[in-house]
Amino acid sequence: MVRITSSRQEELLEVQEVTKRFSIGRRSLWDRITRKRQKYVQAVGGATFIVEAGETLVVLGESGSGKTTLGRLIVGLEKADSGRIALSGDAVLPVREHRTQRGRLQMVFQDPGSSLDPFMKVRDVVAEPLTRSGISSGARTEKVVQAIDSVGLDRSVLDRRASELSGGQKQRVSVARAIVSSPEVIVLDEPTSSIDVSIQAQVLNMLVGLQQRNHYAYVLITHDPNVASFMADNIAVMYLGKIVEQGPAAKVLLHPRHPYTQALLSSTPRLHERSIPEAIKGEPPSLINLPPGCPYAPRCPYAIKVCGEREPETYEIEGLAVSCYIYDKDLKSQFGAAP
Amino acid sequence: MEVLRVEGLTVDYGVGGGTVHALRDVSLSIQEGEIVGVVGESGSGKSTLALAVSRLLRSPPAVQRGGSITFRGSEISQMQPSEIDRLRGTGIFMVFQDPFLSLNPLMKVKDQIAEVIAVRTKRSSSPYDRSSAEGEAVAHLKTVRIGDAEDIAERYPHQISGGQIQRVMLAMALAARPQLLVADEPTTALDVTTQAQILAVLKEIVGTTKMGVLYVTHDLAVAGVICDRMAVLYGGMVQEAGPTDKILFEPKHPYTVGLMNSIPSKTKKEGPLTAIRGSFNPEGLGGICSFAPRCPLVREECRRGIPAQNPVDGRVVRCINYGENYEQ
Amino acid sequence: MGVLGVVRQIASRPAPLLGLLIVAAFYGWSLVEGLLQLVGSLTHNTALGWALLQSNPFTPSTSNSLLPPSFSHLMGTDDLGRDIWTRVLYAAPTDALVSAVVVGGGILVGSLIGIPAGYIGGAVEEVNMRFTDLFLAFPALILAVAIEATFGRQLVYAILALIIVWWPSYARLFRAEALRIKNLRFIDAALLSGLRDRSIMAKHMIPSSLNTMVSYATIDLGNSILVYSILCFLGLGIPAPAPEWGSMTSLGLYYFPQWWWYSLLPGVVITVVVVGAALLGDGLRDVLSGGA
Repeated sequence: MVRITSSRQEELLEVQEVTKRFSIGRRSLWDRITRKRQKYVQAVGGATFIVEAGETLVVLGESGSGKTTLGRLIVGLEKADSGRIALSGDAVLPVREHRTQRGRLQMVFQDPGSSLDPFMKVRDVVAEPLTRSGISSGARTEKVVQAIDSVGLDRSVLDRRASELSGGQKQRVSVARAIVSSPEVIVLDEPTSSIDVSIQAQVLNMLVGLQQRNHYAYVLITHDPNVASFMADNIAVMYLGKIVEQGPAAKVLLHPRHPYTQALLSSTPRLHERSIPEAIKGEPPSLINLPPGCPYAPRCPYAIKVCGEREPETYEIEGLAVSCYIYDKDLKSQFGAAP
Repeated sequence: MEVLRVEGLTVDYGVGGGTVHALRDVSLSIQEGEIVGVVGESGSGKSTLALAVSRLLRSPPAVQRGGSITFRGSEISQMQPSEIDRLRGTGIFMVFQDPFLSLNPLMKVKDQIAEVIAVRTKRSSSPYDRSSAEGEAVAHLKTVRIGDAEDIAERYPHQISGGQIQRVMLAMALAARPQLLVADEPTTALDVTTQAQILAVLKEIVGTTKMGVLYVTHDLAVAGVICDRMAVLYGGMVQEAGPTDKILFEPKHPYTVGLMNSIPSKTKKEGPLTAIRGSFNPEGLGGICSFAPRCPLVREECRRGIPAQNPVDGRVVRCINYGENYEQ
Repeated sequence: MGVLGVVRQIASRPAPLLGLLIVAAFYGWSLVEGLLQLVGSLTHNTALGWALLQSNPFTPSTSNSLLPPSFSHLMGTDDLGRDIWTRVLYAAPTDALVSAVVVGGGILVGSLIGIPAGYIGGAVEEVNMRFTDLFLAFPALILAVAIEATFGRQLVYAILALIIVWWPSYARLFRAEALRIKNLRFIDAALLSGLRDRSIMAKHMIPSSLNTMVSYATIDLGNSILVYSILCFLGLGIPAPAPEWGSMTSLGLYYFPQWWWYSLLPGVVITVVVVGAALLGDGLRDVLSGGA
């Protein structure tokens, strides 16, 4: 199994073979008695990657790819079924057991509307991560003000209620809350998807600036290849809970190897394009009835028999880690047109 | 044949004691077989425009203060609700953003399309035959490239995906045979791969039915891909409008330029994105260029009045930098 | 939106404004009169209780018995010649107190049971909600009779009986709110901040729930007055000669229809207050759900 490893020993986030499934449907007592089979959604099926301090890994995927679950696993909002998540070597615990990890892992959520308690004042929202930090209230206020300054908000916003702010302002407050505890890793789940494009640019610039100054490791989850191209140092492409392709941003975006990545990138309308992008056939998948074999096989134009039977290994090709039999030296010849 | 003409449309909303100028002097036209895009961010008034054209604005709180909306030669903005009802569906058909709010959850897909056919046949005084209507429904589902059309026809809305629902809406549009389709962010809630499929289907059916389409979106790239002409809206006013080619490749208005620069197209290593400063504030919009507070090319002339639309190189631009003309 | 903003919005529409005026007048008067009565009884100067009223509500005057409404007796007099409007005003604080305590008590107990049920779920939810169902089944009147038969006819026992019957609806409301709120992202953020579950419930669940509940609780004030009035009507309130709206309506029935004002007018007062609370509550719901 190929792993992307880091040569430097900086503070890093290490995720190894992480899986997570959710049970669906409520089982009544009768269901238990009749031993009705519990249905599961395999949200994440074995994610592996490393992120270094000051670096951004973009997890690129559409809805249903498991990317949000992956983000929640990293910070401890969900507990992994198997695999390992470690922050500088310490295993990441579920959020209620955090203790020494408290404040080192933070998250910025997609929906500005539900990210902040609408009845709280902004200063209390931003101060929340410091409530159990043991620092004095004076020091706390100072950190809160610093955080608000560094996200480009005017200090007058501190005494306003969260519900009075615009979407862009709410996202900035979300970021301020995430950085106030001086975290090491920040997971950003579609941080700009719900705000206007013109504000998105400001927020992305701000995030880059913050990272340059404070060396946060970002795990940025998005479905937008444009955001990925701007923000990413490395990209992991997710499909149906699996990372199908991974590597340096430029390589993934300019010379994608996995058929899904190619289809995803070519389907995205580009500014200045006048023709409708090529579409992948079929429907976006559901995580409930996962077919055996490669998750993309049902929609893949190159799929051969083995693709639907067994999951491919991860192959390394020109600095990219790709889960596709096309790159298996033994099976290469079975594929017709090379993608 | 001109399907839609909006002239000088001005709509206000009375909200909590104040007034919001949602639309100000908006004009556009749509010919048959043409897809006209309206691009804007939140607060631009684009949804108000879609609702106004569809005659779905709630009045109060919305009030039309001026202008006209002409559908196939008839002025519809002052029409009685009973007359508007006759236009709905077969004259003007709407597709909205949230697919899960569009269909009746208690009716099968084929029944909902058949219902549209029933309305259409009744209005044209033709006889309605149930089984041929169901057959037509399935045919339309096939035209919009829904997989397993017969199977989907028998399902209920909660049993199909968002992308499939939007396709069902397009099938309904085929069944209704409208002259005008108003689409308000129809693909925003969908995955990019599904979006590409829906855009392709839409373009196809416009080609065959020659219906006019008003396509409202916040996504410049999507508008560029599907629209023949477009209008860029900011602060309730059309800032730039013209053929898509012109606007995409030689944008003139500072807002259009800023919007394009906001779409990331380079890496962070090459420097920050050229963002438009500030954010949209509906207050203080009276009597000056609505973009002035954020414009990198702002001059004092920008605050002397509301700039008029100047014809420049095959399109119109509402900007003092292209001619010092003001609205009266 | 702020309390002032809400009040302004309420005041801009006729029906909610009417409700607001009625409710404000009712509780405002009850507060003043209630304080006077309280101070009066503590200082053994009971006359304070009718210092603001035109006459002593207890003093009988047989010569004035059963007089119809007039300028000197706005609601006429009862069989003992006592001015009814005076007695209505004197009795108002009782209903105000009952409504405030019953609804307040319902919210207090309901939140303690409902919020953990919704937020924690699992066994806690099962236990709490089945316990709630048990109490939902109690009929208010029978319980009140039982308690008062055991402990005596005092205001506090009537209130107790009402609280016992009242809290289950609030428990359900709070549980539903907790279920809704716990899926909002700021709860995740609170968890990441290291907040313990009980802090999350107190700090985040309660304000949001109360906001949703304010309109229901306002209408409920009227409901509780109505139920309490019915209790009094059936003879389960404070014994005579203390004036009570429900009791007055009940006693007055003996004199209906010839001396219609005795029963009808106190009943009208009850109706006005209950409808006022409903109008205000409705208005609040529109304002709070439409706004921020």
